[in-house]
Amino acid sequence: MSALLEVDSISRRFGGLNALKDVSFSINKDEIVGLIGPNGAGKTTCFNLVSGVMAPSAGAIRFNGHSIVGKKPSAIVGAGLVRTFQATTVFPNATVIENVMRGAFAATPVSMLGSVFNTRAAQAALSITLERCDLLLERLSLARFRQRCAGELSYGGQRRLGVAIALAAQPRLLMLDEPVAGLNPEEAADFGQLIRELHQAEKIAVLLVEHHMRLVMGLCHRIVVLDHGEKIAEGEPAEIRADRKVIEAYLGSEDLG
Amino acid sequence: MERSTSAAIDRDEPRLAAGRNLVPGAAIVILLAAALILPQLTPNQFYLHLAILVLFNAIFAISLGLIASVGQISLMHSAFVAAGAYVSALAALDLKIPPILDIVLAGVVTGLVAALLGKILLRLRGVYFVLVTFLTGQVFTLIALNWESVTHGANGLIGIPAISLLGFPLSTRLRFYYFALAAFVLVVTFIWLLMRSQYGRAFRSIAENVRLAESSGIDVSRYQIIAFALGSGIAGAAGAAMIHYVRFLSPDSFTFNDSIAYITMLVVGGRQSMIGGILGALFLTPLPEALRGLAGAQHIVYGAILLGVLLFLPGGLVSIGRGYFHKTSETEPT
Amino acid sequence: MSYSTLLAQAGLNGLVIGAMYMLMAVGFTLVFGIMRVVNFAHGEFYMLGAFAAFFTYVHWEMPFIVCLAIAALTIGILGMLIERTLIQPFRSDEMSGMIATLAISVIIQNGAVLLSGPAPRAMPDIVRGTLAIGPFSFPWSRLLVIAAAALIFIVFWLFMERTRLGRAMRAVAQDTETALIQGIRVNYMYPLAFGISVALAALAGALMGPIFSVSPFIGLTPMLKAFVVVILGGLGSVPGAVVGGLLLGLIESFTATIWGSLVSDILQLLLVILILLVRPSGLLGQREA
Repeated sequence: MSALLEVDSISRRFGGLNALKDVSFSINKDEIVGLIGPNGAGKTTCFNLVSGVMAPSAGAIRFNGHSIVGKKPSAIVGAGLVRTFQATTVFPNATVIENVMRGAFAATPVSMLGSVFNTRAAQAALSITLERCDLLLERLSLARFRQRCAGELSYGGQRRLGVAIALAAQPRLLMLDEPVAGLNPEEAADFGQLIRELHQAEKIAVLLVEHHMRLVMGLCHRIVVLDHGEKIAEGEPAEIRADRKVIEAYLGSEDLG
Repeated sequence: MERSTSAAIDRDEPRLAAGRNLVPGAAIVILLAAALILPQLTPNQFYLHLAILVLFNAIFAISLGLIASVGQISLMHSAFVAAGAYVSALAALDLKIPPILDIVLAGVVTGLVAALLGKILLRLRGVYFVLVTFLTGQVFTLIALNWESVTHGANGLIGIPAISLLGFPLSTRLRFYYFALAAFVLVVTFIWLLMRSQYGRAFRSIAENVRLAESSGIDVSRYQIIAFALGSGIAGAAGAAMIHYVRFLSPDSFTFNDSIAYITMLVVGGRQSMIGGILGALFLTPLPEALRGLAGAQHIVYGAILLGVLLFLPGGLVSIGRGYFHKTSETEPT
Repeated sequence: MSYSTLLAQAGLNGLVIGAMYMLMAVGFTLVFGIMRVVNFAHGEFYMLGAFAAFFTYVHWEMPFIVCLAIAALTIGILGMLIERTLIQPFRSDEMSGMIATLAISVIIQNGAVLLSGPAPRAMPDIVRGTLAIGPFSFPWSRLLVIAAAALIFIVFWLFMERTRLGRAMRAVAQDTETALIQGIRVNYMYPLAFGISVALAALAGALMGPIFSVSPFIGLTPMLKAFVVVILGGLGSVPGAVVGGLLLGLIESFTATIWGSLVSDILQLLLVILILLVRPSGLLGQREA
């Protein structure tokens, strides 16, 4: 059984600097995997490579058995690999429901021309998508903000909306870029619970970049650790906790625990 | 701020929705009726000519607005107008193709050229794109001036035939006015349908947050090219139609100053919605005439109005109305 | 005329035009580098400089160097005022700022038409005679332009490198936030940078006045060329503007001499598109992260 996502010896150079060197890991469709490492370890670069924002200098990335290197991010989303962003996570001037409808763009089975002439089929397809989006809003406790401008939401609300937008694209693998940064402990715990529920109910695999150790340890089936652009450890949370290399990499940092 | 989706009914307020849709609908019917009987109200040929200019300027402005809806500014819009005019004029004069077909041809050709240019140029970040459209527009003008064997250079093309609809020549101003009105209604309807559809959804997403749009599965470069090609193609077709009314074409007919004028109309009227482009054209087209007494200061007033609007009324004339009618009828492009 | 004379003349003219392009481009790129503003009115300040030189030299009959100083100062101050009142409001909105500078250019150009009329005016040469080197003869008026432009640039360079004010401006260009933290008054830097930028354009116009004529419409082409140079050399790169300016002047002069000006202009556009496709940051520009 081949993995959903296979990252195969990817490297990324910026000028003379090696941001990422020979990193390999894979994700199966029933896993939540965490990607951790001290600041500057290359986690964001890794994320950007997998989601197609930039191309690797070397190596291969396969999703569902097909190479996604060199594809536009919008095409990768169409294949079922969707990510969130740390900053500017929403469309600030549109309503919350419109935000989610935009996220569902690639997953809306309507012909573009059909939507121009408002055919019966187009109306039906958009109706179904609208219902799906409304369900997502309820799932993420955003239903009462349906008609509000996304820019007016609280920080936590915008983060949840960012996840709703990503979920609207019907991902097989959801990549979350520091989803609980800036949230208080209670909100972070709620968020972790939400991800677990979504993973189980919708059968979505998750790749998570985070600094919040408690969340990562409690949520992930497996953890990959990067340091200075290289993978230094991979395994279950208990193993990673005890791994000497990991502890050394984080020595002096506030992140652990 | 947008309303909910285009094709789905707003479930929260069904009755209000019905009421809300009546007012703008009625307004449109009234305006259309007024436009139809306008020639009866003002038999003066000059005002009829002005009305025709307003209609065409409105088309130029809203087609530019289509390009702007993806967050791009084109400084070569008048170059496409001119290109369409030349294609149509030359097809009529040299190839003896009936003008009505020439107009379609002009639209298609300029649209394709724009698509090709867009494919190359739209890779560039906002500022670079604007600069290069400016440069390319200048080159278009240079070609029109210097390719004398085809365009007759500065002397221009004369004797361009009028449009003939099924043997019925549009040779009087009155007839052409109704043709212009029909063209205007056609363009407005098309763009309205487009912006209300998934295309509009894609355009507005790109204008608001490019990175998030791409990550939502919207192929940004594809839709930018589509907006640019459609906007420029419509401008080209409109330029072609206009030239069969004016019946004379030279490189001076459409210049960079016109590109600035279309931007001015769009900004003054309001970039946020299509009504803005129409309002801007309505307000600014008669201005040079009204200011004729000020000999030479007309353009300065133009520039001053643009600056004033940018500084003090950035939403344009439309934003004055929006404060009055709290809910608006159409989903606006942002 | 022999081939070598033709080439020598093309070379000299290329340097003259190149000097003008260099001054225009340096000013343009300075404003973009520091303030992220694309100034579509840049060419109009060139035109104003030409007019200032025209009036002070022809009507008031002042020594040319004084004319240059007056042109630079008056238009520099005008630029500072314009920046403070009309451009700063658009600090957070790049596109609207661009359109605003378009509006300003329309106002300035038509203001000039209103005040001076559309007809071009001729300006006499500042110096007469030619310098003979071997079989070639170079007009002093042309050599003067090249020398003056070089001098102006050296003064500018020294200002940016050696003075506290110049270093402060470069700090703002590199990283506005850090500059703020260091206590640099960013709100004074912007009008100053803009003023210097348009003063350079004014000097270019003043120097070129005797060579081309003086009319309200002479600003468009230099601005166009400034764009081309800045794209070639990299938006925000001063060395790029210098190299690009001189290079473009020479390319233009040679291609125009051999193939005519239309081909030359189209070649320049193709060059721009090529550079933008292959190396969007320009020949010497910074690659944007």
